[in-house]
Amino acid sequence: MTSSASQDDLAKRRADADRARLTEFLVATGRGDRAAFEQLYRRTSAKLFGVCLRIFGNQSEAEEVLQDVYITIWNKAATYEAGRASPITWLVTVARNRSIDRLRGVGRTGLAPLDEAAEVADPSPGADAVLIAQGDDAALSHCINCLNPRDAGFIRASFLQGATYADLAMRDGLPLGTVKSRIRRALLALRQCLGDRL
Amino acid sequence: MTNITQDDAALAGEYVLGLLDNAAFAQASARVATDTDFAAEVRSWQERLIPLLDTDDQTVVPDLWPQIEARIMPETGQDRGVTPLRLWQGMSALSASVAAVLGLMLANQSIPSQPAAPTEALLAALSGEGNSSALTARYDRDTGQLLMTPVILKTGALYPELWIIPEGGTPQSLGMIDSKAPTQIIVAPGYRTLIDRGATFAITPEHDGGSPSGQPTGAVIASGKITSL
Repeated sequence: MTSSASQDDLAKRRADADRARLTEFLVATGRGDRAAFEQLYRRTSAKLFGVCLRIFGNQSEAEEVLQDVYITIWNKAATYEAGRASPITWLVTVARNRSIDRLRGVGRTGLAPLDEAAEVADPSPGADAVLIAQGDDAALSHCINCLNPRDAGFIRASFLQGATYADLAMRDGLPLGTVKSRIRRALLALRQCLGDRL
Repeated sequence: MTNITQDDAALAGEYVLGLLDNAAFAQASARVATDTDFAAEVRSWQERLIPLLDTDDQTVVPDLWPQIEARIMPETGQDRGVTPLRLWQGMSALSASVAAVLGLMLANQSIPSQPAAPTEALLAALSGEGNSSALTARYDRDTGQLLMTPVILKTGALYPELWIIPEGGTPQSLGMIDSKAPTQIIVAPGYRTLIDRGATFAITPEHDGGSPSGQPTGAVIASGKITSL
């Protein structure tokens, strides 16, 4: 075995161990174990704060929403099913959805609160989702950059700022139906571009 | 790759982005719960898009644990023994209307000091995030009567099914409830021990007559842990 192979092996084992520990803490949190919840907070708050900050771009709002995120995690952890979704994907999805809901001011948009989507993730076997997700940063940038810039902007605005079809149509002065079909087409192009990897 | 049409692949992407309106969202949620390929596609979209959230900024993360702890957890607590007063502090995410209903229940219940071991009533406030749904549950251990009172509960074309999830256990159906009016359920004797502190009530949208498999198929639209007075 080459030394780089064993390094990879080591990194993978470390990632597996991290994931196992996070899973353990998340499951225990679901049972109402507050010490486990604190551990979960200590290990993931930097990452989730980054998510909130990415969406809000403002330290104090990000701090507020981060608290909501962890309250949501506390309340919903019981719905997390170990072995199905990766814990970090689950947590990041909660953080993103909670942030977007807050940004949108749920109730005003007539759109469903995304929080409800967080725990429905995945009845299929969990596999190596977390490893795949980590490796895919560059692939996603590449594939998004291959899209028409306006379409790429639509997807970014929607994912990161919670923009709705109506928002995007108004912003760009396009008919709603046009925006919708462009985004759907762009999603399919993105999916195809990433296709070999996921 | 899964067997999925282009239409569904795009739909799953829209679902993850949050572009669907309420009705389409509810339908898609139901599919996530029942259609493995569609669910896998939703998960793939989550994985695909997550890198957009990565940031290189090295920001100092404030320690918010004390605030979070204060919001989830009452004081003296052994596990989740929540006292009524402190319960309010953990309920900030809850709609005011549920709080009001629960307040009535507490008011009726806790008229002071009945020294002889009073019947222990178990309560739960169920909510979905963003005030999308809210209910209260009150269970009388002596009689096995469970009263579910919806404040806001929308299941689109589907119907609300009530589940009890024991700590660390799997959901057991307690039957369908009304989405607009209070529903009184006499819990079957075999199920009564499941309803206890630490267990969770949950509501999922299901087809009329309930989930055929005996396990929830819809997404959880409201849930809440059981506490006691």
